[in-house]
Amino acid sequence: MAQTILLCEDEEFVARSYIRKFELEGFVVKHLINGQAVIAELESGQIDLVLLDLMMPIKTGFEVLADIQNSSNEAIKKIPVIVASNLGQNTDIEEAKRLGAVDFIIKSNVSLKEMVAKIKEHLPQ
Amino acid sequence: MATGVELLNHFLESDNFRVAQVFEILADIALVTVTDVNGNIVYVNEYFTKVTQYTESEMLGKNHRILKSGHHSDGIYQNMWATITSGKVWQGEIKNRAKDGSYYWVNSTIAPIFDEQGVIKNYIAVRFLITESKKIEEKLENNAAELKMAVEKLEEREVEYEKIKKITLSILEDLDAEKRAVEKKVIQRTEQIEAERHKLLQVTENMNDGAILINVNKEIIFANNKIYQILGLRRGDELNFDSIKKHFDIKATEKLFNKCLLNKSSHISEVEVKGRIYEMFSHCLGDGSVAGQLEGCFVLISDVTDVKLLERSKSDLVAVASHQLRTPLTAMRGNVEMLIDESFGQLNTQQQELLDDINVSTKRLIGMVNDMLDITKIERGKLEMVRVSVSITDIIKSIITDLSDYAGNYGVSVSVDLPDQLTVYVDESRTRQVMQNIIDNAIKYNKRPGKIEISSHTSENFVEIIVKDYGLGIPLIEQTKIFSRFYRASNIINSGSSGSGLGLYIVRSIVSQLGGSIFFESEEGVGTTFFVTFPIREILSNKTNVLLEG
Repeated sequence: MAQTILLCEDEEFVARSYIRKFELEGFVVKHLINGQAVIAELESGQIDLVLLDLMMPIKTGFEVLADIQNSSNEAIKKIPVIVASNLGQNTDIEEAKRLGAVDFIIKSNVSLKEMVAKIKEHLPQ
Repeated sequence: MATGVELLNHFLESDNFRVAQVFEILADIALVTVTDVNGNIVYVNEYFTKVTQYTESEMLGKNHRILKSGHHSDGIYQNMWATITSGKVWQGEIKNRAKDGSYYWVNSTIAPIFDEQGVIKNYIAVRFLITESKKIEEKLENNAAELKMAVEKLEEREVEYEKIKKITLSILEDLDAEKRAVEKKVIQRTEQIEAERHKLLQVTENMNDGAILINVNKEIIFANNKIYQILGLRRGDELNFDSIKKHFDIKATEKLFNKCLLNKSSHISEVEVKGRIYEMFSHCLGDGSVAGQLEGCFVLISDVTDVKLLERSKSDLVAVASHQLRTPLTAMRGNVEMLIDESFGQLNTQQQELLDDINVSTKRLIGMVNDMLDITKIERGKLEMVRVSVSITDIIKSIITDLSDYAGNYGVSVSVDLPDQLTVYVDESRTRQVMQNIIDNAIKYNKRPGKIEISSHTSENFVEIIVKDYGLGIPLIEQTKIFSRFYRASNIINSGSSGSGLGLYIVRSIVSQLGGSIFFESEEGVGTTFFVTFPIREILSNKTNVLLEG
């Protein structure tokens, strides 16, 4: 069965590019343009991996990570979250990892192939 | 005495006197001897035997010369003999030696005695003892000589004393002149210092920074106009340490002064008061002696509000700009990648070429955005480093894997001769960035086909990575500039390759901050070798920020 990726990305062109690539790779992609509904999506039990932007309106990626960490639902804490942002300060990377992100990608610095490789690396087998 | 002898002769000649009577008179006062014409003694009187200690029998038939002391030269005896043999009377003072070796002086008169025909038949000698007077004379002479010597010495001393006196006087005169010159200089210098102090005071009073001097008891010795202005006071208003503390942050101010007064170290702190940002810099004041007795503390307070706000907006701008630029570039990069991969249909050659160009340009733009971000961080001293122990061999091998297609396109082969595990203590991603940049340059500026050799050298504290290419090389006159910002060597600009000219500037800044070093050897047309060192373990005294200046 196809694995489902939750893409949290507010930039339309970036999101569209990713969705196309991920679908080409055979993933099911669910897309959110802010962090507000992430927890609800995770609680639906259909998400295998989250690709999370940091700078988003309403609720930032950091806040989403904190929400997951503070959640009483143990199952959603096990879903791997890769942060994909164009912020790239060491402080950002450390903060994201401290909040439970399994990896940190600076979007402009990786190719789609590399992005897919990262996703496959962290997806539960 | 001569008169005595004359008398004697007279008596003898007159024949009315007996010789025996004369001898009797002389018996107790003179040594009397009579010799034959050859000088052999025929008579000695008793006094003679008493003085010489020779008996009469010992002396008779002997020559008087057995009593010679050796004191006189032969000349005196020859003269004596010549005188008396010529019939004259000889007289002189002679030093003789007695039998026991002791000496005695005599005043000697020797006269010839003639027979009736006027021929010499005997010599008579009458000697009066003068030893005592001679001794006194000698002593007097000695004394006189000593006296003379003493006087001479005294005179010499006097001359010397005069000389010394002269020299001393001239020295004293010189000293006096010097003293006057020094006094004059001191006065001049004091005037100069006073003038300079006045100037300095004017500068300090009117400068745009606040300046305070406090002593070890935290009493204000001096505060300039700006301080009064910042505190909203007028000159003449009371100003003390407490009012300064209260105006600025109490804790920060305390810390600032205590660092200085207790630890004798300079300190900078930034405080924000009523919307203004102040930078406070404290510096110890020594008394100027070698021992360095602490006299107090000097504090400069600068209003850096405008600079700080500008700095903040600049850094905000760069962060926002980089984020904003990266976002559309991400979409471009991804979409071009999918098109080139022919994910949505086959491309003709022209389409392929155009998309390749877009792809390269997009990646260049991304690289430039990254470089700009790094430059901003370097210049603000905010290049972050997370140091861990990693294998540089693994880093280099993975870079070469990533770049293998790229190197293949250039026809460049890379050979690696590194130990399996080569641990360095660095920031992994920054070290990757450094090595990637150097290897990328070695590929880009190589000959086609070309080759690169990567090797290493390990010392006690550092690993040195050596990247040798056989490419274009760097022109000699440009070699000093290659670590400068935006610098690209003339021969590579003409080669048609791309680059921002920021790479090696960033590389050197990173290497410096990691505690390593970088240098190169190059010959145009022959190739370039880069030597990069990385620390093996944590460097305790890390002086990174100093090295960042290009």
